[in-house]
Formats: sequence, C-alpha cells, structure tokens
Amino acid sequence: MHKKFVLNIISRILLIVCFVMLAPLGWAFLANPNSREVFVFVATIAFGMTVAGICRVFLRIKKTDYEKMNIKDALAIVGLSWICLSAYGALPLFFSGAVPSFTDAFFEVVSGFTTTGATIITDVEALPRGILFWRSLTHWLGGMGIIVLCLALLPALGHSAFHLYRAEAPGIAVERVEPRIKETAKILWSVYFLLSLAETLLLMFGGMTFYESLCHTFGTMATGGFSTRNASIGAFNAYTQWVITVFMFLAGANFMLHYQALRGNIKSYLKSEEFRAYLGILLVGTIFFSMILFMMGPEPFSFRAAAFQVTSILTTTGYTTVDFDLWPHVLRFGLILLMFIGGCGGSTGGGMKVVRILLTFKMAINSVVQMVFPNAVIPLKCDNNPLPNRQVTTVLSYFIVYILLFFIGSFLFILFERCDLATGFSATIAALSNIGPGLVKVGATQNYAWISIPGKWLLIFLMLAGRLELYAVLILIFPSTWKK
Amino acid sequence: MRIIIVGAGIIGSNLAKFLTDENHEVYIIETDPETARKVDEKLDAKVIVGNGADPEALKKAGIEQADLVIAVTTSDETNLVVGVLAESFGAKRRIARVRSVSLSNVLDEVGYAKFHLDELINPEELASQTIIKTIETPGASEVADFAEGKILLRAFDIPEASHLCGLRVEEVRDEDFPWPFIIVAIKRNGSVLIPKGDTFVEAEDRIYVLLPHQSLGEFLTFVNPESRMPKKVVIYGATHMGQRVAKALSEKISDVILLEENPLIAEKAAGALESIRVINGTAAEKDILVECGIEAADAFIATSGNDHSNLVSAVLAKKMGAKRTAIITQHPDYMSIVDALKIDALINPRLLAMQQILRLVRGKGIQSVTKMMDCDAEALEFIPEPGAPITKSPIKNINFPKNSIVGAVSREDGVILVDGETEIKAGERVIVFCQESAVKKLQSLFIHKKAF
Repeated sequence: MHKKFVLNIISRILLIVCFVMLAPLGWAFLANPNSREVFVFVATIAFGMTVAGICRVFLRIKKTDYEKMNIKDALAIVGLSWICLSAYGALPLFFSGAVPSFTDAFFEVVSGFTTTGATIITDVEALPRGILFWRSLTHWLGGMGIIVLCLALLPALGHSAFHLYRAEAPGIAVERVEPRIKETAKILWSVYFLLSLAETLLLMFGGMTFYESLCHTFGTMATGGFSTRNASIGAFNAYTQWVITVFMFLAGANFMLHYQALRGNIKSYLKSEEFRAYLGILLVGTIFFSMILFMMGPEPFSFRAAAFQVTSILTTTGYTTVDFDLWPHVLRFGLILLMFIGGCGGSTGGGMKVVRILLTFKMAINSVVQMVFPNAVIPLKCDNNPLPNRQVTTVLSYFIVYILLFFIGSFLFILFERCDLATGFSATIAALSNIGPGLVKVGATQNYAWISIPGKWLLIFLMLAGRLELYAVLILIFPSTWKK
Repeated sequence: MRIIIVGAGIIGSNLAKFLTDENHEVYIIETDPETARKVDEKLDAKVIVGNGADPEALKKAGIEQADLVIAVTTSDETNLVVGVLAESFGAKRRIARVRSVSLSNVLDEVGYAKFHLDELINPEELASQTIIKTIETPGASEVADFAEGKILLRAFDIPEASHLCGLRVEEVRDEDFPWPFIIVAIKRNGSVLIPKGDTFVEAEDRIYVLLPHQSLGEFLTFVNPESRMPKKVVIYGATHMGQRVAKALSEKISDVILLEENPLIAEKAAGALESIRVINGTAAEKDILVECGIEAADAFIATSGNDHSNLVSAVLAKKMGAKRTAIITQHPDYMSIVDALKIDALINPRLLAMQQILRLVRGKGIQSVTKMMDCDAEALEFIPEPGAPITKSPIKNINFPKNSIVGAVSREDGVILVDGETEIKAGERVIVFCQESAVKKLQSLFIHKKAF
C-alpha cells in the first residue's frame, strides 16, 4: 500500500465532508445560536479542516504517484476513508452529549453512512435539531457514496478513479454512461439529487415540515431508515407513507435506469432483466404478505402496511409503519429472506443485490440442465449477453463469502449477547444487508442500545462490509495490505 | 473532444491514455474481450467490445457526435473501412493507420480524400526516417526536426571529454559563440529540468538542444570531439524498415551490411538491394557479428520484428565494439531499460505514430508535437495567430509557465534563437520545449481569443 498517497486522498475526502457538515451547523444555529451543539459543530469542522490542511501540506503527491496506484490502494482508500469519516462524523454526536459513549456514537454514524438505520438512541425526538439532521445527512452521503461524490467534485484522478469507483459503487460491473468516471459520477449524483428534491417537495405537499421532509428524504433515497420520530413512518399520514413507499422503490432500482428514463427512454426499465426480477419480487412479495395478513394477521388488516414493509425491507431501507414482529411467523421469516436479496446493482440499497441472486439461481438451473445434457454448452446470460467466466466466478464467490460472514457473524453475536436465535440471526443480517430493524430484541419497536460493546463493534464491521460489498473492508484485515 | 479509437493495441491504448489525461472523452472499440477488459480497468475511457468495421459498434460509441475517429487496428483494410463509415455517419475528422507500403503509396497518389481520411499514418515509415536521422547525427539519442527541417532538436549524452562539460547554459547561447545553439532541457538522474542561464552542464547528462540545421556539423564535433560521420553500418533484420534504412544510408555511406536470419528473405533482399552486402544469420551470434566486422562498425541498428532479438543483439554488438547501437521496439515499457543496457537510441514506431496523431488532437496553433522518450517532456511547434498574446510584447514581458522554455523561431530571413528581447510575430514558427502540464497555458499564448 502506498500510504502517503492513500492518506492524501483520504484527507481530500475529509475536506469535502467538513464542508457538508456546514448544513447541520446551519440547522443547529437556526434552532438556538447559543447552544452547545453549535459550538461542537464549529469545533468539529475546524478540527477536520486543520487535519486535512496538515495532510495537504505534509503529504504532497506527484503526478507519477497516481500512476503507481493499484487496486489494493483503491480498496484501502475506500475502506479506510469510510472508517475515518465515520469516526470523524461521530465527534459531534459524542461531544454534544447526545450520545454518551464513543462506541455508541461511532455505531450510530456507521449505521448512518452505510445506510443501515440501526439506532442506539431510545428517544430520537429528544435529540437537538442539528445532531438529528447530521444523522440523517450521513445516510444521504453514504447512499450514493462519499467516494463517488468526491470523484464527481475533485479534479480528475485519471485511471485511479475507476478502481475507486468500482470499490464503492455496488453491483457486478461498472457501467459507464459517459466515458469518464468523473462524468458518470456527476450523472449519478445529479439523478440522486433530482429524485431527492422531488421527494422533499412531495412530502412537504403532504403536510410535513421542511426539516422533517429533508430528513426523511435522506432516509428514503439512501435506503437508510433513520427517522426523526420514535414511531418511524407510522407517525405520518397515509399519503406520506405511500410517497415514501414509491421513493423507496425508486431508490432500490439502478440509478442508471433512472438516468435513461429522465432522458426519455422509459423502456430501458423493462429491458433490464434485473429490474424485472426486482419488480417481480416486490409484487409477489406484496401479494403474498397481504394474503397472509388478511387470513391470519393481526387486526386491523392494512394492504398499505404490507406493501410498505415489503418495499422497505427488500430495498434495505428499514422504515416501519407497524410492528411487524406481531405478524405471523411465516411473514417474519419472509422478511428475513427479503433481507438477503436487497436492492438492485447501481442502487443505494444494500443486501446481496437482485442481480447476484438472479445469476446464482440461473447457475443452479444451468447445472441441473448440464446433468441431463452433459455435453451442452450453456452460457450464463444477463440481459441476453453471455457473462465472461471470470465474472461468474466473482458472483459465486461473493455469494459464498456473504453467507459465510452471515454465519460467522451470527455465531459471534449470539456468543457475545447470549440472546435467542431469532435476535442473533436477524441482527446480523440486518447489519450485513444494511437494513436496520430485525426481530425480537432488535425488532421494529426496539433498538440496538442494549447490545454489549464487542457486539456493537461486530455489527459495525458487518455494516461496513455489507455496504462496501465485502472486499474493501476485508482487505484491511490482511496483513499484506499494510506492507509496502 | 469526443474521440473514438478503433483498436486497443499499443498505439490505441497509449493514445487513449494521453488523450484521457488531457481530459478528452474517449471511446475505444476493441474486438478481443480480454484486451478490452484490461484497457477498461487501466483507462478512464469507455470500452466497447466489437469490430470497428461494424456500424453497430460505431453507433454504440456515438459516432454521430464524434470529433475525431482514429483507426489503428492491425488490419489496414479495417482501418480504411472505419474511415469511410465514420465519414458517412458524420464524424468530423478521421485518421487511419496504413502499414502496407504499396497501399500507402497509392493513397498518397490519389489523395486521402478519396477514402474520406484527413491523415494517414504509417508508423514504419516514420520510424525509418527517424533512424536515418539518428544515424546521420553521431551521438544523438533522440532526434526531431521542426519548421520544415530548418530547426533541429537533438538529444545528446554528454561524455566526460565533451567541451560542454562545466559550461553554463547561458554561455553557449551567446551571440559571440560561432555556432549558437540553445539547451532547452537537461535530463539528470532520470528527471527532466528546464535549465536557467546559470545551470551547469555535467558529464552523464542528457541534454536537449535546439539549433539551426546549418550549424549541426560544427556542433557535433564540439559536443563530442571523438564523433565522426559513420563509415560502416550494420543493420539487423531485413524487414521493410531495415531495407528502407539500408537503402537510404547506402547513398551516403559506403559500407552498409544487412543481416537477416531467414535465408529466403535474405535472398530476396540481396536481389533487391544493390551495393549492400547481405549476410544470412542471426545477430545474436558472435561468429556472424565477427563476419560483419562489427568491431569496426560505427553503428549497429536492430530493426528485426522481434523486440527481444533486437535488445539482445544490440547489447552483444556494443560489447563487441560497435560504437553506437539503435533499436526498434514496439513495446513502450522497454524505454525505461535502454539506459541500463547502454543502448544509445531507441525508436518506437508506435509512439512516433502517436505523436503525429496528438498534433491533430491538440489542434489550434500547434503545428507539431514531439514527445521525449521515457520522460515527461515534449517539444511543440506553434504558429502564433494574429493578435495572440505572445505577439504583443517581447519575450521577457510574457508570463510563461515555469516548466517551459521558448527555444527558437523560424522566420523568412532564417532561424534565430530566442532571448528576452525577441519579438515574435504572427505566422512565424516557434519551437517551445515544456513539460506536459504547461501545454494548455502555452497554447493560450499562441491563439487569439476573440472578445465576446
């Protein structure tokens, strides 16, 4: 790893986050200019800028250093910058006194950046406005990706941009709408921004305040799940719930498709095999859930709740309108299954991604066909294009590593917490797939405050691994990464 | 600019690298999926897997809005078809590489316009010319000509015996100096510096000098007293390039020997080339080199199609007494090892082709571009537009980027070396030496921006 280079890039990313932090400072200032919160934000921003400034002065890099950057460096930059930024983002929460321990503050911000939405705060409504806004804003930054934002804003990083982009952006392949990564990143963020703007306006139209509309837009578009209310979305009217359902659905789809649609090419949605599968899972899921709820569920029956919950869990948002822990067991298990799938590649959603699940299923079917026709040549196709073998292997190994992490994680979690299996499994997958709420003790009406410190660090690791699609975090574990 | 490159071979991918570094929008079309994947990971450009002669692939790359299409696949036929297709789809400018000599001769005769091309590139021909120039300039490791051959850029490695050692840069550009020249850059310990007046020249430096063509002879003996015009040259490899070089050199040098491994090709070459001794054998064998009389050779040139044979034979020839060695290599990575192998000059046909293309891409005001081997430096030839900033005041009052130096100007009444008092007029040819980062700013000095 080229440490100097890696640190230099991270310091630049830090600088951008410092500027973004001016927004919560603004809200804090509007709420009460003399509060401790304002002071803490000012101090944090000043600290961040000083550190970034020092790094800029002492870690000058030459153009030739860019050439030397390899894939390992890119992965390390992404993994380390997510950890550093989370630690930095936790400072306001910790020093303002909103969250008493640093582990908790770090957990909360990692949960924010990774768009998980798992919270350790019991009474959200008691938090000061600036802190609450920052918490939601971390979702929005992490959703489309901090690195992708930096690629769009910073001067061209040349070919190194590609590796950085690939290390952070979800999905199986990098899609370039524009030949340059910088332009592609700009397009992604613009689409993200436009959709967020639309949702904020629609939410305000439904009677929400500007402040709450923004916070919930951040939570929805990033498929995060932080709310400003203790009752999550259950605190709002039916109109608001439907708006959020629709935008959760949009946020879980590939943003490249939105871009095509905005350019007038609506058909591209249905041309995408992954999108069709995503839509299919959602529709089948919603119908199944409402049928079961209608027959066996707790009174009163609500189609809206079924649609909302299926969308929220599949897209890995984690907003809730009802306590789904009271639902029949088959539905509780159904939600766990949805948690594994997640959103589409190129979306802000977490999980294994629809496309990987789709390909894994196809592979399974192909291998059965191969049994019957031992000499058949059966290419694995996606959108009618055969995939190269290398990519097929990557998808398969991702699937396996994901499942392994899930089992190891659950095992350790249950060991640390001495909790029941449903809590252990659901907390692990809710962290790994960046969802938020799980079952029983981490259920819809519960939170993560009771978990022990080792348990929290385990979940922090899983959240980061899940958001960065494993490799950028796993590489930091290998000692060889840290050698020259 | 939106640029489409067809063929991600060595020319294609290196060209794409330069162009993306200069912030152009680059699309690459490549047939081989594995090559395409590698290029995709290496470059900030969109790679499309497909055949360049297939309209569908061209459309995917947005051929309708393309400003420039560069066809550099290994097949001449494909390249020509790409040119024609690109024109019919509305691409603004088109360049194609044509390697076949007979084909490019015909194209020269009937005109490129018939094939809807703006420029034709023949890397082998470019390389042959460069070799000939290098051999005719004893001691030079890199050569380039500007202003229609009136101004020469030459790179020299300074031996201990040179009169230049220990001189200050400003001393040699003095008007009292009998044959003035100007040192535009010094490569020392692997990095390039643009010298100031009080920089000293040291032994082991590689200096880049600009000088008027008529003072080349005197200059050569000055820089290296032991140098003399070559009398005996050994060329290895009767490729098209080898034969072309052998023929050109034999007009001036009495003793030219051509070595060729393949007996059939050797026989053919012997038939075609009069007054040249053709020997059948490989240059990687001592006996054969002895038979050629390598110990008396002033230059050994390896032009075979195999990079490795070229490298090995050049090292061997040098060891056995050849005074200078020059090799052709297709692979750009070898540029960094020629110094270690004590090979005097390296010529890369593909890089030469790339420079020719760069000139077209850089556009406005820039007449030609020459990239130096293995370092971040290039020589540019500008023709200032009327009203451009540089024509408005003497050089000393113009704010140049600090990693650049204005070397020489070619006017109607001859070549002058630039000093602070020189005033440049529109339409003259100005040679500037600079590092890559200075190009944009320099360019703005030479073009006239219209006020809105």
